[in-house]
Formats: sequence, C-alpha cells, structure tokens
Amino acid sequence: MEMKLAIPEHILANEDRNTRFQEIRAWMLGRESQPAPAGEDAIASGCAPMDAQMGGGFARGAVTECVERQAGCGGQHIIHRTLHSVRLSRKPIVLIDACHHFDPASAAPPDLESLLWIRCPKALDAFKAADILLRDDTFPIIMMDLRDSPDRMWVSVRNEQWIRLQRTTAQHHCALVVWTSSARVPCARTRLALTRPFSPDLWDHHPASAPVDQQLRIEVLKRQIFAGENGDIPSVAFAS
Amino acid sequence: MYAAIRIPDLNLQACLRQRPDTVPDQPAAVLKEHTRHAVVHQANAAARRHGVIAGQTANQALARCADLTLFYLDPKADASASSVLFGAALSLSPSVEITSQDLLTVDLSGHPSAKRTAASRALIPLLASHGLEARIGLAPAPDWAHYAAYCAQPFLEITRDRTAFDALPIDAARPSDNMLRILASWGIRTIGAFAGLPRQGIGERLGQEGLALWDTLHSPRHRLLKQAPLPTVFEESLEFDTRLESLDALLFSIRRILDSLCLSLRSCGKSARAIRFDLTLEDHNHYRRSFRLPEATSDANRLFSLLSTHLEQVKTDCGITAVSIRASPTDAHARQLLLFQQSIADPWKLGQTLSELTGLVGFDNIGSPRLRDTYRPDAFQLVPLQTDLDPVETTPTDLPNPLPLRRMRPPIPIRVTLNGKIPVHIQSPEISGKIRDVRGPWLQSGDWWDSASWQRTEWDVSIEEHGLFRIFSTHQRWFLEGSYG
Repeated sequence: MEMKLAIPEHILANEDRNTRFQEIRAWMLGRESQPAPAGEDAIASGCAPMDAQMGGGFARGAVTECVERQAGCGGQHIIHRTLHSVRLSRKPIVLIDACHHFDPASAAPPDLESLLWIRCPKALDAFKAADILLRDDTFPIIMMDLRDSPDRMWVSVRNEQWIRLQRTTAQHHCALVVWTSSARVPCARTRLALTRPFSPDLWDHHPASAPVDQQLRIEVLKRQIFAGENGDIPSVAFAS
Repeated sequence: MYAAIRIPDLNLQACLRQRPDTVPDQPAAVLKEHTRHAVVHQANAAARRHGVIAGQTANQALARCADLTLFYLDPKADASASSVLFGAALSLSPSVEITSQDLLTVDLSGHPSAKRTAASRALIPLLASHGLEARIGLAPAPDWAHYAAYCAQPFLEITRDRTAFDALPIDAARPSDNMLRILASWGIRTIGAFAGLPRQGIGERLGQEGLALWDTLHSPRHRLLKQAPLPTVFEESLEFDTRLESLDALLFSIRRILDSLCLSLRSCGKSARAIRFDLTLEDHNHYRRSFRLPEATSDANRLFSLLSTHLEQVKTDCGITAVSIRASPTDAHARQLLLFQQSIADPWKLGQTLSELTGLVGFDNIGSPRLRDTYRPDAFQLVPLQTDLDPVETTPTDLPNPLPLRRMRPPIPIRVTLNGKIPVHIQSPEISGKIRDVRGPWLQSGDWWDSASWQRTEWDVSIEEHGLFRIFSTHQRWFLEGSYG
C-alpha cells in the first residue's frame, strides 16, 4: 500500500531512527490541530460548534463517528440541523435508522422532502443499506443511526465491514456519519463525543432562540491526521 | 402507396415467441381447441416438411413427426403479438387498418417516396427482435399490398405490374366460399389464372362479386381504410403452461412483455409514468407491486433493470403461473423542470438502488416521511423520494425544532411516582431517577368520533443525570415516549 506523506524533508533527513520517529510524531500532532478543509470536501451540519470541531462540516470521502453515550446530549438536534442544512443546499440526504428513533414530527416539514428515511427491521441491515447507497452516488451524505443497537448486533459486526464501508465512502466521495452509543468504528477519520445532556433551561426559551448550541459539549476523541490515496487507511492514527 | 404487414401463422408464432427454450427450425404446430380431438390449426415450415398440415388431429400430426411441439391456441399470446404488430405499424403511419388478426394495412400517403421503402423494410428486423417473422408488401392499392404481403420473401414492392402475384393461390384474394367452390370446380387455383379469364364471362357467371375481384386484380383501386383507434390501456399478460420456478425464465417473459409494451407506448407517443406488476402464484395468490417511475419512460431496458433488481429480492412460496404488467401512460416529454428546480443526477440509477433497498428492508420501511393531517402522535406516512428538488425559501417557520424528540418505538412502559398529580420519580429498566423539573400536563385526544379514539396526558420531565424526556399516561398506564435533543 503506497502512502503519500508530505513529511518535511528535514525530518526525513534525520539519520537517527528514534529521533526521526519522535520528530514525525511531533509533526503529526502539530497537524492534528489543523481542521480538515471545508467547502466541497465537507458537508456543513448547520450546527456551529459541531462544524467548528470538524473544520467546516462532515468530511466527504471519510467516515465520521459521533458518539452519544446517553440520550439527550444533542445527537438528535444535530441530525435535524443537518437535514435542514442539506435541504438548503438542495441536496438529498439519507438516514439509516437501525432502531427507528427518528421522529418526523420534530423536523420542519420542508426538510422531510429531501430526506430518504430507511428503517431497518434488523440492525445489521443498516450496513447492507449503507453499502448499497454509497455506491449510488446520489447522496452526498449518509447518516447511520446505530445508537441503542443491541449488543448482540455489535458482536457480529466485524472490522472488515467497517473497512469496506470506509473504502466505498472514499471512492464515492460521500460523507458517512455513524451515530453510536460508544466508540465502535475503527476506521473513522474523526470521532466526536457528545458528553452532556441538555438542561431544562431550554424549555424557558422561545424555540427559535433557545441556546441549544451553547449547551452542546463536544469532545474530539480522534482525528485522523492523514489519509492515503483512494482512502487507504493510514498506518498511524492518534487518539486523545 | 399502402403497406400491408402480415405475420404468417400468427397463432403459432405468438406461442413460440413466449418460449425461452425455442430452437430455430423446430417442428411446431398449434391446435385449435383444448379437446381430445383437437385438430392442427397452423404448422410451421419445419412441421410441414414432415407432412404435418392443418386439419390433422394431434395423433396424426405426431405420427408424421415425433419431434413435433404442440401448442394450444392462446388468446393472450395472440393479443400480445397483435399488439406488437400494431405498435410496429403505427411507427410507419397513424393511419392503420386491422384488416385481420394477422394482417394490417397502413396508408403511407405523405411518406416521402425515397424513405417509405427503407422505413417499411426496417419493420422486419424490428418485429424479428420481438420474436415475429413478418412479410411486408408495398403497393399502390390496399388489396394489391395484401397480395404483395402474401408473396413477399420477406419484402415485396409492386408499382404497376401485377404479374408478381399471379402465382398466389386464389384464397389470398379472400373470395366468398361459394365463389371459391365454383372456381375450384373450374380448375382455377391461382390469382393469375383468374385474372386471365374474360371480364364479361366472369360477370355472367359470378355476378358483381366476381367482377369486383377481376377489376381489383387488373387496376389498383383505392379505398378508405377503417382506421383503428389508438390503444388507451397498455397492459400485457402471459399465462404459463407449466409453473415457473426459476428467475431466468420469469425474466425472459417479463422482457418480452416490456418490449411489447414499450413499443406500443412509443408508437402512441406515450411514456410510462408508473407500472403495475402482478404475478399469479400456483396457489392462486397474487404478488402485486406498483412502481412509480423516477422519470416517465418508454425504454424497455430501464424498466427491465428496475423489475429485475426488485425480483432478485423476491421469494415466493410456490411456482408462478402467470405474469401481468400494466403501464400508466403519460405524454412523452411531459416532464419539464421549473427554472429553479433541480433534479437528482441520475433518477434511474436511484430508482434501481431504491428497488434494491426495498427488497432489503421491505416496502413499509423506506421512503420520505410526510406528516399526516392529524394530532395523533407519531402519525406519518412514507412516500417515494421526489427526484425534483424545489427551490428553497427560508422563512422563520421553516426552522427545525431545536429540541427534537428521539422517539422510542414502541413507547417503554414505566412506573411513575406522583406527588399529588405531578410526577416526581420514574422507574424503568432503561432510565430511573428523580424528576428534577417538569412541564405539563398537556392533555391530548382525538378521533373521538370513531373506534380508534385516543386520549393521553403528556409531561416533559428532566431526570437527574439523564436529560430531558417526554412521558405520557393513557388508560392508567405510564410510558416513556422519547428523549429530547
């Protein structure tokens, strides 16, 4: 697997192997703080703190994992904001709902027009559905909601399935966003966690001005530093 | 100028075109009725070489040719073949007369003379691609065109010289039975022999009918065609003698039907905007599906790929005995995007993908959600995803709910402790805890006028360390409906 790394020449020129490794590591960590390029390569979620953490939005050609360890930390809010944002850009979006949690009544009715909602009778069907949709090239963003999926499903999910999805995502330049209750996606380029449930203060505000975004607590668990050509999985990745 | 399109042994060809395992030059014949003493109605050239002719009983025919394949007359197969023939004729001109089941007459007036021959000839490979071997005759009069179609191998154009069909049997001129008997007793068996008789003698012995036929043979006579109406229903079906158990055989039949349907649609200037698909199973149950097409089309390849993708996911408990497909027509090119509308890049590819997904998750689990016009909670329906995306107008009412519900389906039964009428604690296998803050109650009810009436009391609660939830009570029972955010 050929990887193209734009590591500065002066680091590679260092003859001492250990020093060279330390310098490469330091260089990579320095890059980690740089957000991914926005614009054509990212799909904005429409949620300012989330987009800021992701450097403009969900990266196209990569898998983004969003972990919501407990309900009510803002995952559904971000999904609905993304529906709205994608509709404003006049593109269709898919939500693969493994446990049938999506509530159409909570969405703005026009946002539903560009949404393809797939409810999976078996949670494992979500993987097959995502694979089929990724190859279609119609949808710039595909969301897989696997939160609350039963543990027995996760037992039968192999790493190869994720790698297959990751490769297909890279080939078709699509943003695949996977929602989970705990970190599950080994090949996610970015892994974010929503850590704090909303407080009841939000009830006291008018819906249009509720400071929901301020209450979001987003933690970056992982940001992959580089990707090889054709979405090859890099040999080095860092988790904070 | 007129063209006559004839399908020799149409009943037999109609049966043969529906068999995927038909071998070229295989002796075959079609029997007139479903009885023990059924007689051969039509036999193909290979069967005739073995001595099989019309009028023989099935046993007599089989005695002459042991390899003979026998069919019974199949009105549905005949209708399908006639439909293909009519569609092909319409592609030449809208003025088409159904002279008989196996013979159509087309008025080519207005066709540029340089192109009409090539256009007429082009029908032969077109019909061959639909499994029909055609004979086409071109002549300055309808009756002459018929004679030319009888003589054609497979194409014949006659301008002034009628000697080309002198060798035709006199039956081709379709005289009455009485006249045919008289002519047979005179030894007149061909059109040429009849045309060589003196006109006065014909008039004296055969009367007006004989004179009319004689005049027709000697000079082309024009007449108005009885123009057949354009079809309004585009439906074709096939019944199988033996049940189908393999997908390949079913797809072959479906392809035949779609080719025929699409030819009819194109000939009438129509496209299909939806198709209804019906499989009859051996246990007399039906497997029915309707497909709303991403874009109106009359392209058989696209329809076939859509249906075949869907059928790959379908499993039936028993064999298939019949298949029927109906197309809902719309004017071709009726679809026109608005100035600011944009469409999905390839609606057909998406249609195929959705068909595949439908096979995976089922019809009820895929689509674009729409809210029903009711206050009943969780009332929605799924509709096909629209491929034309309208321009967006952002208005304040258009914004999504900042605290959307994440719904539990079905709602989770919980135990609630009340202080007076206000919930203070909830307990369930999923979430338990003290309620820190509460909003409510909101009383809801609906459909009181029928048996599906409902009523409930909703509360929004904040549970310590867990977040915001919606709970409700109905019929003295409490449920967790979902979480906010």
